[in-house]
Amino acid sequence: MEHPVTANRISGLIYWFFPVAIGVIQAVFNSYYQILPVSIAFIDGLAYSLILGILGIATWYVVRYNDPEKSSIIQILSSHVAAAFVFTSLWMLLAGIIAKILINDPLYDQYLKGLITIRIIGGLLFYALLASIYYIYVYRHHNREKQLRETEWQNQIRKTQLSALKTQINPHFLFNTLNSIASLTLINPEKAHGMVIALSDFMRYSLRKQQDDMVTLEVELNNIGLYLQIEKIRFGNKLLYRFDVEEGCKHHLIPNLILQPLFENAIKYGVYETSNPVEIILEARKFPNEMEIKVINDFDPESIPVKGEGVGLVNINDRLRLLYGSSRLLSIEREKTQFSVKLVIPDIAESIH
Amino acid sequence: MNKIRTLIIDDESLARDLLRHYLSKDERVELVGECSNGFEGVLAIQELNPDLVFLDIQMPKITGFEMLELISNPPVIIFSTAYDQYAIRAFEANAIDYLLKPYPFERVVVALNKTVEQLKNKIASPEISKLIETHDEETGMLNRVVVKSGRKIQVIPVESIHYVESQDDFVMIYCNEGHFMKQKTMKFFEQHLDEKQFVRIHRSYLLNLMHISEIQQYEKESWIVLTKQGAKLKVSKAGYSNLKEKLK
Repeated sequence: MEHPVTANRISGLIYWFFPVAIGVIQAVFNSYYQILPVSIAFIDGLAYSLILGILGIATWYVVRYNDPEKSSIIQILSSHVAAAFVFTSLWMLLAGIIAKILINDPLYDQYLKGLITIRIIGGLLFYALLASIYYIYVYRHHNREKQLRETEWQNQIRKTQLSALKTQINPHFLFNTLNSIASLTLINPEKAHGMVIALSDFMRYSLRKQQDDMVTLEVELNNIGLYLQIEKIRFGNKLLYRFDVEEGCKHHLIPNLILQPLFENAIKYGVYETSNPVEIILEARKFPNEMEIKVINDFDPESIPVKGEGVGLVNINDRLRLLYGSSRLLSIEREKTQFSVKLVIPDIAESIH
Repeated sequence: MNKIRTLIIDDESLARDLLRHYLSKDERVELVGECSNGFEGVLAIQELNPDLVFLDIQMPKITGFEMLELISNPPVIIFSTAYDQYAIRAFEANAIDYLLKPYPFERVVVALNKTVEQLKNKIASPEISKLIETHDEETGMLNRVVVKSGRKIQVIPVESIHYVESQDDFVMIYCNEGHFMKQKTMKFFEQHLDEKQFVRIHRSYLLNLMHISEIQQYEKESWIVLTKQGAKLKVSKAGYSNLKEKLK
């Protein structure tokens, strides 16, 4: 949080207006009623108001140090009472020294003595007022931040709910595939037949209801295989893929459909944009307590695909965090022409779920 | 009546196969070419001068809409798309014909009927520019701009744009790859380029902060921006305060 006085020119001006005004009014009063000669009155007024203003700026830090969310009321109050006295003493001392250096008049010394009590009270009051204003400023700032975070959070929830629904059916994929089937029925009915069956199996799996269904890697890869089989009809030899699964990984449980977006991305940003064949490789390795899955694909570093919504990877990370309690289970590596996403899936006994 | 010279632009061979099959059943149509991406499409339109183009929207490298931006006198366009949320809204607003895959032969016939009407009555396609306008409104932040210089089409990443200069109803884009004209307004770029990166420093200039070298003052209320590439751009008073705000 910025210091309210230095945050911008206007607040600085408003702040300084007060001590300077007090000083000027006092000086004018003293001059008019001939309590002090004009020059002395103004030196006195300015010296005191300048120091007051400067110390007032420092007071902000006492307020920031005494955070009502971190310390008890008693601690805060006693802190401020002490600070108020230090403030007032420093003010009287410093201003007094400056004034005495600039003014050499016994009249003035007498004047000062008479004013001590009033100035002490004034100083304490100024401190109290200023500290309160600072607290109000802090409070409003916190509130504004909280509101912003609330709205952001709400939006995020809504977005995730929406995309959770959307990810179950990818319209592009669906309609393009149906169009391919329509085309195949005329030129290659057998292939069309195979595609209809594959699509139907794939959609059925995708429409499974719960997001926290756990399936074995084997079952999930079977579905990914259907997906790639269908896409291969679209891309022909441009799409190559291979599954490299270590023994012992096949029966490991993973959240269903969690791999789908990774392959969609690999096709969207890898296969789709290049003219050369692209291979997508899935690697699964078993470690004590967890399994690592990597999806790797080549891509054309010069292509600039239209920016997608970017929710795919974020959703996966969120899901993993909700299921396993860690937000570091997804990592991305991007080399010159190769892109890879690594998922770490803890063993089921270790998960919080 | 002369046959309708038709071009198909679609990146999926199965989709082209199907459409080719449909068109072969309508004798009004003469298929003059097929393209599998927007680059080929622009060249084919320039060379073959077709009356009608069936255009896919989602294609690799450049989209159907980006391709249209590069063509000055577009022929009759019938869009063919599996799914495109922005396009559909734009279509409905502009009564252009569009086909949603998979579509039956009968739909193609209806589209061809409309085309015949348009060609006979020489109604130019006014809807195309309005269509692009509506689509532009729906478009989010740009990360690339497609430009053409003679026969060469280039996809420019937004980061390599130094500045955009407005010239009546088009703009000049100055970037690492050279400078190119684009038939879009300055307002369009101001709205669709990241405002944290691009600043309107003058009525005529939209500057990419990443390419700024220094700001020089030469009179009381006028400044000049020097880009890293050595270009000198005037900065207006309002532009200067914009600039200062963004550079904070």
